[in-house]
Amino acid sequence: MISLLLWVVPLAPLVGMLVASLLSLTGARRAGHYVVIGAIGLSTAATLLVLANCDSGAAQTAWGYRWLHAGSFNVNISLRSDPLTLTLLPIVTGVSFLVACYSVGYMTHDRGFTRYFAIFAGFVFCMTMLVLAGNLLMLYAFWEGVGLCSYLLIGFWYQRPSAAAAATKAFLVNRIADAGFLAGILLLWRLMTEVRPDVHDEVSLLDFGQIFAAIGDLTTSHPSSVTLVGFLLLLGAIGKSAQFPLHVWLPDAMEGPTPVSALIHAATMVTAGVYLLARMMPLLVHTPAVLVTAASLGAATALIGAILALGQTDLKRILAYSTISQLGYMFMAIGSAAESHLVGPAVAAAMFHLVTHAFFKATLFLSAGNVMHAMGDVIDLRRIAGLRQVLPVTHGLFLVGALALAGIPPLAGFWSKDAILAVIDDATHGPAGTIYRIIFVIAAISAFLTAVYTMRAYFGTFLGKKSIPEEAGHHPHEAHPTMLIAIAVLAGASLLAGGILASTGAIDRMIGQIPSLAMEGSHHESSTIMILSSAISLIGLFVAWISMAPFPFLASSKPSRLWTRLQEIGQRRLYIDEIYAVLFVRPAETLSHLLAWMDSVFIDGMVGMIARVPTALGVLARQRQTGLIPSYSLMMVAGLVVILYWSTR
Amino acid sequence: MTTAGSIQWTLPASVLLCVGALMLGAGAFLTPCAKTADRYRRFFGGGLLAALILAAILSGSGSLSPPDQPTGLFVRDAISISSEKLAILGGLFLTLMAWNAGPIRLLAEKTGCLAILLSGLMFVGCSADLTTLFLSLELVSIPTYVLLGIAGETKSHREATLKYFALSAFSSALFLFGASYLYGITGTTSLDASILALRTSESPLASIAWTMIVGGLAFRITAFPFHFYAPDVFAGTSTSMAAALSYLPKVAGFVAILRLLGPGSATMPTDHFLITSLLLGGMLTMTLGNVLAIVQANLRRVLAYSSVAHTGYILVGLAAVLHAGSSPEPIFFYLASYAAMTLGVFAGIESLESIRPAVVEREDLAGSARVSTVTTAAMTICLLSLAGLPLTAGFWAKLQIIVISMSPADGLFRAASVLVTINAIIGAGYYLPLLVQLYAPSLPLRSHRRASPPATIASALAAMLTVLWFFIPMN
Repeated sequence: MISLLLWVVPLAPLVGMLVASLLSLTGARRAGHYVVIGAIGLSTAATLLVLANCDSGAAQTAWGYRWLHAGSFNVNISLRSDPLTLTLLPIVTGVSFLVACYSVGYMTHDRGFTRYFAIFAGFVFCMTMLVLAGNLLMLYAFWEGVGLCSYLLIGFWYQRPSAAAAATKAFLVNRIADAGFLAGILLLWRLMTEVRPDVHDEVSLLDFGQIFAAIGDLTTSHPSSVTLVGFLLLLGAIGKSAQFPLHVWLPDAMEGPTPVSALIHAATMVTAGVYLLARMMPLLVHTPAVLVTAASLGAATALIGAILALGQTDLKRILAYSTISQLGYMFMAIGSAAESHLVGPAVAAAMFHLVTHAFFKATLFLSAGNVMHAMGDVIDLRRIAGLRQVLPVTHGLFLVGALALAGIPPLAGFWSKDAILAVIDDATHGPAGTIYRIIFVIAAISAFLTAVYTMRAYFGTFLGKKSIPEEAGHHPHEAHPTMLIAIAVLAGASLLAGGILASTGAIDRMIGQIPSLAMEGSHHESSTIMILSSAISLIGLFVAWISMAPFPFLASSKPSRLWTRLQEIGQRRLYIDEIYAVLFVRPAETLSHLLAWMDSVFIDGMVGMIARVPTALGVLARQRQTGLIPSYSLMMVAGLVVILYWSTR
Repeated sequence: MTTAGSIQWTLPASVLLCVGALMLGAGAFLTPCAKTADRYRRFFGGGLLAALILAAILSGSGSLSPPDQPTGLFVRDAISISSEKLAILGGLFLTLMAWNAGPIRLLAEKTGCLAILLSGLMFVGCSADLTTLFLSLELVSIPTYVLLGIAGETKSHREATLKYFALSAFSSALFLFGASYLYGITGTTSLDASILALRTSESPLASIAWTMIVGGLAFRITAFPFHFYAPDVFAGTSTSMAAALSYLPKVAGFVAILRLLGPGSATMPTDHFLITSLLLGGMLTMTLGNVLAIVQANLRRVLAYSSVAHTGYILVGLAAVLHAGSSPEPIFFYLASYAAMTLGVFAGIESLESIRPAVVEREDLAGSARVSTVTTAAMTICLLSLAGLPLTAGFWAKLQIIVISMSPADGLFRAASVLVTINAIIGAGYYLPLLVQLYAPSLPLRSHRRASPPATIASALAAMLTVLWFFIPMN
């Protein structure tokens, strides 16, 4: 029964994709999306049923078929459902469902309406298969599959050169990371064949169960190779999750339709890297170097993402950099598992933040989508302002998402960020304590910056004097009710999920059921960290407000009493603004520009250079193609002579 | 088993040969004109499809030749069956693709030669003797010359034909030269017997013989340094002919190498040098092919170098198969998925060319998404498969090559598997821009003609197989 339900989860969207593809090829405009939404709804229902019927932490597998069999290389299609899967799966299907409902309104005037839903369903199929994958190769295959759907959706408006360029960039950056990932899988397979030389022909060595069972043998016989495997898997993860230095593709990915940014580039696909590391945690605990690297890269990314987000004026780009930064948090959390007793809490904290982030970031992106819709695709903070009267509902929803992202208690982001800070704090008592102390400081600074840029975006968009670009047309209007309802559900989750999950300890309990991630003793709740993190967020909020103080909203026609009071505070404390400008804004702007420059010149340049080396070689080699028969025969003879000389040597 | 009796193992090939001969003969009596063109095209295309289906049925129901008896001129074993399948697969795509291509005047010649070419490919897979192997290879080459010759009448077509003819003759001579040495050393033309004799002989001439033979075959598979003709000929001839050249001679060459050296033959001449040169040749070929493909502006030249690069991957796999003495399944899987993905792209181009001006440069692909959704979608899938991305057969094909080349505990093989991975990334560097071109904006293309349905079907079929073989790989 459970295995049947498990199969419904990916197969329903697959059927939806096939139907919608056929419809889109025949040019039918108005039927495909019902099928797709129904299919994803079915998939969501099946997920919830599985979740409700899961009473033990034991992994359940749903057998599919024998996939590839080449000598000792044996791979099956089978689904694996364990607490880790069941933490992520409801998010994937549920958020997909809501975003699909939202997309109907958002994409309604688009020529590629059915094509959009076909790719969308394809993405949900691949993503659920990724999460449910029973072996590492299957995970990899669908990892590439979600990437593929992501490129197709980034380049959805392919008539725009910038969209095509963004899709290409995402593709090539991910190619490099994924080649590393694949190499890691193959190396792991090779090691497995060595520690399990006489394995039965039917057994797939890349099954997670097989890998986890062999970890003891692997780490004793090939410790350095296992570390290499860990690093290669990490390479794959940082590519997919847009971590420094491979984060460059994600901001450009905003060229895609906004619901896609919400689903793929914020809530689900980009978190696959975190999921991979959590999934492979039984192996990674034996490679502390990999975990410390993951945490350090996560810290660097969180800080860089936050600083870059400060320097942006495009609403979607702020959110994109914010996603990069929040993914950095998840990496920091995962990376704090370097000590065995912290493994459970670290994974739980990362998954917790993954879940809450999916809610509030989807809320923010979809609200930004409403703004885009109403403003004729203009979301430049310098051109829009004071939209709270124009888009009253969107304003409220965005505010909830923003407060959650900023980590203001008691919204979702506060709880998960607190859990991450707590686990990093615990890790500072371990052997690599100094590094984790630095990481903790960076995490705290980034939390502060998060509050600043988030609230800045909110203040800039919705408060102040009304400013509407001419692209918006005569009568900018609030989005369709179905779109608002979809966001409202997500906003409700952003509001409540954190508190509920934190107070019931649901995620800790789920993760703790996984044998290798058992929670040793009860995880301590540090009130100091809670107070610290709320203080940081509130200060950030305040600073953001002050920094926006000279902006027009203070001169808005009918300031409420609260705003007047705040305005007085703002004016009295004007010197803070100046200090802030000197101490923080200017350096941050400089740094932001520097990092943006590094991004465009250094890292893009490096990627470009890697691409140019083969070109240069090609130009050299082309000289040998003259188009003449005698010279070609001569080359053939020369080749033969070399081989002959070598063979008779 | 008598020598003549062994002809029974070549039933599917013989059927195709007869059909081809009949079509050529019929061509002398038929005078198709513009009015009856469609009917004739349906007749010949449908006839060849029917012959292919008949061959497929015969191939599926035919029995294997008994392995313990001394063989005659022909055998029928796993390699024969695989080559029959590959010939039928390729034949299916090429028949559909070339349905509306070429002048109606030469329709019978075109279809007949294609049938004979395909039968030659099947004969190669059944050959158990040096003489039959050589003749079968010539049965592939000679119709190819004719097909190249009738593909078009411009200067570039003539140049391509002449170039292919001269260099192909040269490579046949190399093969014969090596075969004569082999006969001189062993005193027999039977492949099994001569390989047995080679094991016991210590003749230094053996390596010369093998080098010459494999060198001659390297031309057909477009391996370095025998690949030079490919871009020129591909660019000079028609689209469907370039498609045929990218696939059929390659299969013939690989099957012949497997026939000579592979695990199907009595023993393996596990000459270290031979395997190492195949491996090194493969590494050079794929790197060179990929690197050169990046700098080409002409679409056909890109596809020619892509074909060279894929030869390199297969050569690495071949070396690993020969080294381990394992089943050549991965080679055949690669060739089959290569057939689907590369012929799918060519069929897509053929379909596009039927509704718009010739697609010559890479930029000419721009705007395709507007004129034909099905073709563009199919080409997208095939290009992704060529780049080796998951959800396509190309992923499994490449992964199997990597896996089998990782297995030997040999540094060079490890290096080769790493190089395949790196080359897959370089490959993405030129397949992806092609893909982007398909969707690039262009001047409005006005066309009132519909895309040639058979070519469109061929590309859609290829794309479907590409995806199907990812989820259910044949093995």
